[in-house]
Amino acid sequence: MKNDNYLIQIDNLDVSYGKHHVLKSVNLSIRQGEIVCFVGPSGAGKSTLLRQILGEELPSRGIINVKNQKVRGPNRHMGFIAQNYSLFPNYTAVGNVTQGLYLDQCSFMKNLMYDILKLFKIKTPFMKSLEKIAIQNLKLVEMDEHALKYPHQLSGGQKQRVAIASALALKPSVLLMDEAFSALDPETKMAMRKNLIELKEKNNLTIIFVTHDLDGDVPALATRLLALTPHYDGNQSGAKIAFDSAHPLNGQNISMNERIKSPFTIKWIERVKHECFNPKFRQDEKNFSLEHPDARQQNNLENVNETI
Amino acid sequence: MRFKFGNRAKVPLWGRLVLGFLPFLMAFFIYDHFSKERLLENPRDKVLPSISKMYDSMSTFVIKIDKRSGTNQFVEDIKASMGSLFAGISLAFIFALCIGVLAGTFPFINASLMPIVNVFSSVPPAAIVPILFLIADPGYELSILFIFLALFFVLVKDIVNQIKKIPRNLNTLLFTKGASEWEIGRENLYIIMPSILQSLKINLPLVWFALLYGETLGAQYGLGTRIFILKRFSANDIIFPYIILITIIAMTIFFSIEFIIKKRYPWYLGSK
Repeated sequence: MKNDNYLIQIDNLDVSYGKHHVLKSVNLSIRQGEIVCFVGPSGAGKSTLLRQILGEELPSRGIINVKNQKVRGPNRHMGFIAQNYSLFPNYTAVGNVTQGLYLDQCSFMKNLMYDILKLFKIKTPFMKSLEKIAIQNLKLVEMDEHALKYPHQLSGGQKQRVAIASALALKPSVLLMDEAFSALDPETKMAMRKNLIELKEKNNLTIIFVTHDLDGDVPALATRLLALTPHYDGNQSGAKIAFDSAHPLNGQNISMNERIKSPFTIKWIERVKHECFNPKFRQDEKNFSLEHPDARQQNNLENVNETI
Repeated sequence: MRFKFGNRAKVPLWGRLVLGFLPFLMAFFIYDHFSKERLLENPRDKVLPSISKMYDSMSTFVIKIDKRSGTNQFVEDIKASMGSLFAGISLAFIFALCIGVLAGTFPFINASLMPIVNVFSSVPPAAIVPILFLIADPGYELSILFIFLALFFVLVKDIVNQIKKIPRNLNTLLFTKGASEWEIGRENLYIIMPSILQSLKINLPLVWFALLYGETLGAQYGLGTRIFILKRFSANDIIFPYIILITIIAMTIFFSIEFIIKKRYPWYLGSK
């Protein structure tokens, strides 16, 4: 079932490893430009769902379409940033960004030739142009001053900035981030969130963000929140989407700080915590707040407008 | 004061030089003492020749031209051993890189190659000398083959292990950057290169053993051949300097590899 309005469409997705079901009948549609945060308790299948969209693993059942094309494996339309190992240790910051550009634009043999030229420190005009693009991308994340540093010489936040620059250099349609900020200190996290929102606005990016940080990443970034919880029916039979809701302040022209502090956001987060992280509430499947995201957003906006 | 000699003590450079030099000095004096003692008992003793005797013998041997062949044996020995050593190492290294990267990157190649690599790596080359005689001429070819067999399987196994250690995320990242399967193999190779050089460095004693053993089986020239021939005449006054020479060459190769790793792969030691 294809629908041109959505960038990502997941129909009836099942993921299981042997007898262990991780995801059960997941249906999800994501529009261009959304920042969707996946939350849920550990082992709920957030990262599994992200990696399914990435195409790193094939589903047991169901279809995942990105840009109306079935996902058959990770491809260059998707940027991926994980908590660790998002950079190649053998390349400098600028090298990590140019690596993607070389892989994207040159054949295997041409790349091999360029690698030999690099060995003798020879730069052709083409190589210089790629380096220029890489530096421009590093500038976007304020990392151009550290362009010649190797990953081991960078702090956690700096590494993630370079990883973002490296992913954005290829102009992906979707940016998939798996707990990308979880190892960072609070100040760096705030700066990175701001940076990410700016980049998203600039590039009309769609971002899928797996996080545990319900009080930090979610209110600052999410335009839509999706909570996964393990679903029980005697035996564990895979996680399901238990909460799917658009941010109540979507469409309002307010700053990130105002958005975080808004009572609507706080209430929104409280509801997720109550519905998805409260075991008693979770026992009854009827309690799940599953509405179509557009309808949910409409309801939220009406509530907000009424209050204003 | 508490940590002055404890496990957190900091040894200054001069201290390290002195402490490092002391065992050599001790070995020298111990040798000198026992050599003098034996020479007092028997002035024609050949087991522990004096330092001056070794110096004199080597000075003559280094410039001596062999009457039968008309060549300088010392120079020919070094040339032969170095030739076999570099040919053996290069062949083993290049082939191991090709096979190892393929087996580490592609599971089907891994499944078909690794069982045979594991089996062959368990066979000591010295045990199959009669078979090796059928494949290679006794002499340089055999030395090269010995080095190849000693090093190739170890390196292949190490390369496959190193590729397995590369985080899965990095391979996924490469796909998201538009890399093909072959390009992933190439990028894996770049990441593991310094580790493989380290592995080569650690396995150098094995290589030397293979070279010297191979040479004793029929090579005309070579450091191992010379030691083997001179042993019949108990000419320790030349054998001992040859051992020192082998040690110096081995250390030079060892530190050259270390230098290459530091210079060419500065990220490797930093990220450890």
